Amino acid sequence: MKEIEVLKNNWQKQKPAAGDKFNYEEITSASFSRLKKFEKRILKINIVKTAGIIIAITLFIWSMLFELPVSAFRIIAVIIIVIGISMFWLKYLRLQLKTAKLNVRENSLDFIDDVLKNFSEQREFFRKDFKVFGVLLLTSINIIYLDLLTDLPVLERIGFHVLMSAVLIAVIFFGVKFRMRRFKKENEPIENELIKMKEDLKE
Amino acid sequence: MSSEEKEKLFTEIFKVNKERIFRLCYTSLNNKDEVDDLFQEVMTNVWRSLESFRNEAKISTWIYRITVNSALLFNKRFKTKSGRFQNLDHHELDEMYEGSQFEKNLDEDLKNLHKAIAKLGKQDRIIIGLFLDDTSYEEISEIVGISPNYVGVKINRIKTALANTMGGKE
Repeated sequence: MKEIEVLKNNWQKQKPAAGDKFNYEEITSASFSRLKKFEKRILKINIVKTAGIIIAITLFIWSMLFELPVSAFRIIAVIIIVIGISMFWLKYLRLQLKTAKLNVRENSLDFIDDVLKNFSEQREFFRKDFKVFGVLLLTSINIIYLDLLTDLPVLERIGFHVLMSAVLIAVIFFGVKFRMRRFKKENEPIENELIKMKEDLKE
Repeated sequence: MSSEEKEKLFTEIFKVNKERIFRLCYTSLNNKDEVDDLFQEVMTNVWRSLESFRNEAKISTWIYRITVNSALLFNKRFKTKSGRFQNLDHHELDEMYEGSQFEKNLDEDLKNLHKAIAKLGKQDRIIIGLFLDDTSYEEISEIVGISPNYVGVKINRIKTALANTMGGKE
């Protein structure tokens, strides 16, 4: 191998090639507007999603408590759903924020630790919180059905409960499965790579 | 920090550091088609971290930490591109290098060095990239989070691996 100092010297003369996709010559005003746009992108997406959730909850409360005569059952169901969705959503937003705010200025070993912790929190969210939310949803919808279907024959009522519960369980099951598969595809290769790097960095 | 100050500081950081950021991005990736994307990712992270810049002691450490950590996570964002996690054989690496515009401008020694580096693990590619850019063991240790002595040990191992790949002595 050539003398290391010569190699180092040549190495430091390497410059970005002209004609590559990125403009290495200068930072233009267009570059700044792209950076600013990107900076606010995640915030904007989360604001839109949160607004959608608030509208959906409001419509749900309206339809349950103002369009029909109020009943204790429906009030309980609405409270369970609103609390469930709010807790689930706040946790989701907190995780999103934590991911967006990962501190890239730390040393790599600390950064790897933070990323791995973040991955495991995300995994836990899909594995545990998704299911807790599903159980709350299932309970509250069944309470609403219990209240709304009182005039129907018992067998028909049971049929509705079973059908609706089966659909909800299937949606939650496939929802969790889909999210977990996506999580694995997106994060597990990098997670494994980071675990290996962390091991290699141990003295 | 006002928007104007932020833009001014960013432009200054870009001007002074773009070449070494590029070299480190280039060294850390095996798929050289993605260098521009990673460079852009680093610049975005620099922009987002500017507010904290005044509190940091040394600009090169600050920049390198952002570059290295962006490179570590870069796989995640561009996960759909095929072949990212596969180990490339010599023939595939050679083919990749022939097509790179940046590589075409290099002399034979540097081309061979890049090819040998590409056969190392990602973390070793990053460490040798920092070393070749004249970063001291102390600074590499601050960037990576290991002791300067261990940086020395790692660099010696990497140099041996490179010498073996390039078919010469250290």
